[in-house]
Amino acid sequence: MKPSLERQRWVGVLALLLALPLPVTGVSTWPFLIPYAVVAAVMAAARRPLRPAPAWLENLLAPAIVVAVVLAGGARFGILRPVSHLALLLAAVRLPTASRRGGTPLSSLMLVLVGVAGVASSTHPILVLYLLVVMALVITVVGRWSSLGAWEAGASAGPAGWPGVRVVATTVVLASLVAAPLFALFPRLRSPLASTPLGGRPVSGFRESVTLSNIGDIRQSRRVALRIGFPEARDPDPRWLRLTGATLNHYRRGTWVTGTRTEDGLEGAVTPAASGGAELRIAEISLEVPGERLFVPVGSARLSEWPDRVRVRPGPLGSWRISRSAPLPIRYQAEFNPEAVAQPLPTHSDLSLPENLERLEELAHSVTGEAHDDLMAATLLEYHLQDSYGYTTALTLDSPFGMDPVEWFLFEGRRGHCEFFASAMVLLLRTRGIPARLQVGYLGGEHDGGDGFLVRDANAHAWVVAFVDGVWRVFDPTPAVEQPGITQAEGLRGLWTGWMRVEQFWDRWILTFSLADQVGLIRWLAEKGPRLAGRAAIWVGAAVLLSALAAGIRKRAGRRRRRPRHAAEAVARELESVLEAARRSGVLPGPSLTPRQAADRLRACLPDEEEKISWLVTAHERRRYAAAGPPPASRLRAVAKALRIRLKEAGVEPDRRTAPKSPG
Amino acid sequence: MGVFTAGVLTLAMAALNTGNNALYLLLALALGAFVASGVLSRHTLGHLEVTARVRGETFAAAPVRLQLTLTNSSRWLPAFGVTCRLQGAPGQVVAPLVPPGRVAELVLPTVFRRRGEHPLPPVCLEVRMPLPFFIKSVRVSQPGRVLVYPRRVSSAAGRWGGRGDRQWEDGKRIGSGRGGEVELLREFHSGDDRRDIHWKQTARQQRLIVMERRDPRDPARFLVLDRQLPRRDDIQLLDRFEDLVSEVSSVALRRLAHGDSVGLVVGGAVIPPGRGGVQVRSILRTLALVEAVGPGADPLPQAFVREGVYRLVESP
Repeated sequence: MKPSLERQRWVGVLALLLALPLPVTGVSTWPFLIPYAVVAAVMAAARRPLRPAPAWLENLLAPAIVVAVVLAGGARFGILRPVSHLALLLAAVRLPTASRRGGTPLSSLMLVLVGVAGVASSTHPILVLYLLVVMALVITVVGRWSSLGAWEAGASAGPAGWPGVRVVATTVVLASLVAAPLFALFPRLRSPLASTPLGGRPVSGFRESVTLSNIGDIRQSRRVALRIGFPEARDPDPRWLRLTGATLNHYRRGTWVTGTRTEDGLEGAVTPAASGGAELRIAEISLEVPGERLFVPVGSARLSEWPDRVRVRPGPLGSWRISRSAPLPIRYQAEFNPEAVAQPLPTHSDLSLPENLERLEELAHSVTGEAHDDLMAATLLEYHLQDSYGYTTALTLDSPFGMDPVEWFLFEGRRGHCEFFASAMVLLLRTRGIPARLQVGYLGGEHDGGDGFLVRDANAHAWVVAFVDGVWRVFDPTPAVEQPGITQAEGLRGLWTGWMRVEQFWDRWILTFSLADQVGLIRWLAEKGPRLAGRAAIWVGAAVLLSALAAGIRKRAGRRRRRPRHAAEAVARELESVLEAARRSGVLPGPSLTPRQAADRLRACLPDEEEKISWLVTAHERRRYAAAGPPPASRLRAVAKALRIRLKEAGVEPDRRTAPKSPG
Repeated sequence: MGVFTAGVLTLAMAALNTGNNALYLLLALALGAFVASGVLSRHTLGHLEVTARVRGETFAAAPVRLQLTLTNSSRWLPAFGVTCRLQGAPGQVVAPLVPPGRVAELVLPTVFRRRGEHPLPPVCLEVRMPLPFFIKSVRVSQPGRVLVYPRRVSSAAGRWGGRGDRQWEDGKRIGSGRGGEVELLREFHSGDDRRDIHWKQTARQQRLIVMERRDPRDPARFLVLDRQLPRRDDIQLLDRFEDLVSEVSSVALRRLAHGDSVGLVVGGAVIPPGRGGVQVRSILRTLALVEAVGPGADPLPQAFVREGVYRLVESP
């Protein structure tokens, strides 16, 4: 294979591998991924080197690429998406040049950007394995390229080589060992750019205000948002894992916010359900992500405990606010009624509707026409939305200019995510005169291997609370299969628990490793440092001792192993041992005889062993002078052993020597 | 390296800006790979030994092949992509892979620019792998010396000096034949005629001795080089002297290759006319080591001061 073709194939393979996380995490959309993947696949499979695009075509494509990136949303969904889109399209155009000898650094940089975008949007523990594989492949490819270059230039002493498994494996292991402390030591400072449009947006998850058509940067983020446990409950009900962070009641053209205006007669601080005398449960919650809200079960009556250093203040509509700069994690307890929804009494705001939504009223009436009461009407609306509309997190959802997003969802798009479903239901309920609010927070979670649950960004959800028959009730119009649920172990419980522990470690010490953790680590080291140093000295001393011992044993074993190779072949060694036995028994005078002369004397003394003696000497001569292969080791050992025994048993007297004397 | 630096800076900015721990992880791994590459290439260099030997004869400004023996004494790591070059000399060779505990034989093409006997230059071993961030190198001193013969030139004109001072024509064999006066006895070399073996001396000395005869039709012919320069501090004169030495050397080689008997006179030193490999080496060695001297320092013998002398004269 030509070096240029081989280079091209490696670039193609590397490009495909680097882009692997992008479709999985959803940070890039398929229209941008497909051209890149096609070019990379063609490069990997082509039988001839591809010609790079001509300059005029690149110049023509450049503005088209920029326009495509802008049309796909630009920086509206954060910086990661447009960067990945731009890098994908530029790389698709420039990839063929990267495989050329001395290919342009720009192409390599594009590939790096594609890889970085993929890694930045990944939150699964498998990311570590992926990074190690990428590193191994990069080392292999770079080594191969370098070798090909030397070969092409005529400077290589042989055909192009490979770095070898040992080189690659050792580099990866060593790099990982160096990377671990580096990762812990990099200061997690707050960037001044973080609050600008160039700053990173939070991943898809909880947002205090809902703007339809905008779900965030990453579709399936595994970042841990919080942990929750129910210390007094042996078998907690999964329904308890509906945690609200904000309740929104004001809707304006696709955006929900919390109204702060007090309205007459309907404002109240009492939570009707919580005051009903039902048994209260306790939820222990640990918030892991920065924000200004605490999350509590929907039936929470009050917060019972929280850290002294965190100032908690009640917000509107039963929410709890904290300072964004509060050090994480924040641990607190909430008392809640599992059977109730803790919300202030409804106000006029919970019935307000935007103008010109006549079609909503028509839809609501057509759906709830046969309903006898509000509960049935709400249930029918919930069922209608679940059954008649599709779920999608496609980020290109956008209503036409001048059209209300909810109206667009209900009558044209008919596809959306949880916020569309919940928004639509709130507005439909209000058209029927039922007070309703939109609640956002988290639903479900996964067992953490113990008694608690991990709640991730991917568990973010929106639902509806409606005031029906005098109490607030929860309705969730999102199709049931698309609602975040509870992940449970199914079979192979041990494996599952082990994996959960890995994930737990990953979530706690990698994904959510923060400045507070660094400070804590330093404090811990300062406190335990001296004692640890003493223990470490003992361990290091023991390790050095063991290493020295192992090195000594290995050296000795190596000397033994090398002896046949460097000193003598096995056949020569066995022959020498026989001759030595003969000398000790007096058959041979000393080491002055050649093997053939010695054999003559041995044959004279041991006539019944003539065959063995001849075989041994012939094998030795064939091996030494005729470059023959070694004789069978088992026979060699057996013959030599038999001769040694015979010589020892014979006890030959010196006067019985009848063999001819050696010359000289 | 440029791409790596730009990539790491971009990565650091992105990690700081977003606080994304996946980016911090990637950054740590990138820097870890950087450190690992340096450590491993240093390990590789620390376990490499190299010895250089000159293969064949070495002429100035002509390609020469050096035999390099590269030994990797590491027990675990193979040495990959090791570039070997002579310090201060052109040419390089890359050893694709030297497994742990093994030896690789390489041929390094290079060129020595000046004639003379020089210490063998150190061999530079360079390693870029496993990742080519930096070139790590080490110089390995080499024992021994290398004798570089004068440069060969194709347009050298032959001039006889001494008793048989007449010009000859290139390619024309003059004075071949046997039965001339025995000029000297010497050890047998490959290519000598077996009929010239002196059997008595061979038996006496227990080694093959051959007779070198002077062709009766072939007068004693010498190439005469006057190494006296009008001024020794003139660079141009010294350069021209080098050209003169090259010319004498090339003429001697050509005539000896044709089987002519050639002697050499350099200043007061005289190499009697002769043929064969020993004569070639003797003349080339003398010419490789000849130095220019000032006026009157090393005059030619009177018998050779007439025509046919290779001598530098100052232009009027």
